[in-house]
Amino acid sequence: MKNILFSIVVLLIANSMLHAQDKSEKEYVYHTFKDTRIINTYSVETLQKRQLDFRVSHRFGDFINNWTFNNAWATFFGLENAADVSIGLEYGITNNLMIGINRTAGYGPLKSNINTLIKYKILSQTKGAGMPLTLTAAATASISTMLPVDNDRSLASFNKVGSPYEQFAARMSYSVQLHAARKFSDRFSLQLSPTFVWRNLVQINDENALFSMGVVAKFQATKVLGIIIDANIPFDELRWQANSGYHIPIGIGFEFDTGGHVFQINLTNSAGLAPTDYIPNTDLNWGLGQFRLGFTIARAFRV
Amino acid sequence: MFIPIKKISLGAFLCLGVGLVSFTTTPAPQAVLLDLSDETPVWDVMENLGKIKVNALNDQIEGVSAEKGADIIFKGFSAKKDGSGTTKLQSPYFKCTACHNPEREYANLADINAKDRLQYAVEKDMPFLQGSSFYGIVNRTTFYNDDYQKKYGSVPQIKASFNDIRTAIKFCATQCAQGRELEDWEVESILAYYWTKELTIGDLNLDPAEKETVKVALETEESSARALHTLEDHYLKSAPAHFAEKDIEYKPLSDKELSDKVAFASGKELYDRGCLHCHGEQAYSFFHLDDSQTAFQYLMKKTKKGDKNSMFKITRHGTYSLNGKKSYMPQYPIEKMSDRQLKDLRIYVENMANGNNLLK
Repeated sequence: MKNILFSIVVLLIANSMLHAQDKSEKEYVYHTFKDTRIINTYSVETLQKRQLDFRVSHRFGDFINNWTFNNAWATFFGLENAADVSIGLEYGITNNLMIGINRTAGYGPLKSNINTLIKYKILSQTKGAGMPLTLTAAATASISTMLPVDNDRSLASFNKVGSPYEQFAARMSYSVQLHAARKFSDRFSLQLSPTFVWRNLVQINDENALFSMGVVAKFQATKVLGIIIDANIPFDELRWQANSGYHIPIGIGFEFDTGGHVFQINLTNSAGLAPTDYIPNTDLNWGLGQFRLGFTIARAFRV
Repeated sequence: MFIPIKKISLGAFLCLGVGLVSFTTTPAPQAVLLDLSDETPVWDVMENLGKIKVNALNDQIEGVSAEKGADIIFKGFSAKKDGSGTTKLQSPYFKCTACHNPEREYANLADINAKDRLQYAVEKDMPFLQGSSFYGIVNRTTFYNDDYQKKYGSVPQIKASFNDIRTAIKFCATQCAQGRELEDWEVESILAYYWTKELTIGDLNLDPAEKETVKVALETEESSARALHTLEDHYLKSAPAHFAEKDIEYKPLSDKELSDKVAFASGKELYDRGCLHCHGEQAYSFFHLDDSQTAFQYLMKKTKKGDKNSMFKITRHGTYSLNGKKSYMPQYPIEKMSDRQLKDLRIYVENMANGNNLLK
């Protein structure tokens, strides 16, 4: 294990040096996306060195559940409910390496989550012949800090003596993602994100390991305004069963870049905000009007 | 009438003192002749001709070095005064090189104009910035000149900066760069770095007759004033800085103006070497610009509207700090970017916004 870790570190350092050497010779493609996230999915972008990003994300309640006006009116199109809220900080250690921490309310069975993030840009797309895409690796570790639930069947009944539920590890879940993106033109970028999510504790009919593929696209309408979509397609039997209750998280939205602020407003059927949450736990259906308004405000500082 | 004894004693003491001094004074040492070559520093020559060296380094301050000064300028931090560890970042927003070139910016240091400046920047592949170069800055005697004094002269630090390079450095660090205050050894280290960029005789492009004038003055100590004037005619002791009197109004360009390839090429250099120096990728500003059509369309939209983000206004007035956003963009005085160049920039941006790259 130590050897593997050592090899990874050596590889990352060597790659950084390669980046540094290359910079004078190659012309890189920047701003494949304007933000480090596209709706829910991490983008290939990393923060600049010494850049601190303060982020607040919010997902409201169902917009018009079951397409019933009364349901919509009761919560004013979901605006009076909060499905999930995230507040956190991210920081660029180098131009290619960033870390982050945030707190999310959580939508799945594990709530009150603290999510930590590390993200490294492995390859950068170059202009002309050379590197055709940007490749970034991201890893998230989530820990639920919620109080145990008084229900033996709940994944959150952490204090059930003698069962795996009582272990601290039952609060943990992880995700590892590779994000490969290409900026095809000044106006269009596309990203694929093969993802592996591991939850230490799952229901009996579920699997700890979950593979999925994220798809992200951006159309830049003007310098300030972009149209963004994201979807995360899981590859497991349970989530493709007709009546499993799970659905593919799909979002569409607008992104405004005002220089220092990036503001995203979107509609999505995913209620969770962390990849360890929205990928395995999305059970809301666009077809039933169970999409919600969401927004993210990111404010960058130099420190 | 009696003379008081105290006055007699004082008179005798003074007479004796003067007498002793006259006996003990040694003859002045023979002046060492300065070798006048292209590498000879201008200040050395001027000092030999009797000029008092301004901006001289204070060698009483500990921990000063030109290397530390260079690090502050290029990296934003340096080794600490005692050499252990590194200092805090001077400014999280800018480095000195965001606005100042460390190298020479003009072929002819006595005849500076924005057109030649751009041409020189293209030849030497340098940025085209708002601030004056550090090259030869110690040969200047005034700072924050002309309209800076006229407009902001009521600010004590700007007033004091006029003939004090150290105050100018400190002011630039806290106001222009919006960073922390520099310590005295840091200011002196920056000054030490500046001294590595002082002008030499070769920079002045003296003709043989002028060189002879200086040489004769050095050898004979005659016509020193003439020699000094000869030297001073070949560089500027003050970098002129005038703000544009009125903004350029947006008017549609004629087809002929829009298809001017020379203006387009000049505009491209201004955009690449000026705008993108700070607004390009991984640069200083969060407001990003690039070669995308959307970026050019955005600039043209703002310029047509004539709002505060119009290219004409931003370039001439810069921006102010906003709440929660301490950094701002300094303006280009007309000596640093002319009105003609601003028009060239607009011709480039407007063509690119319309998808017309005239150089293709």
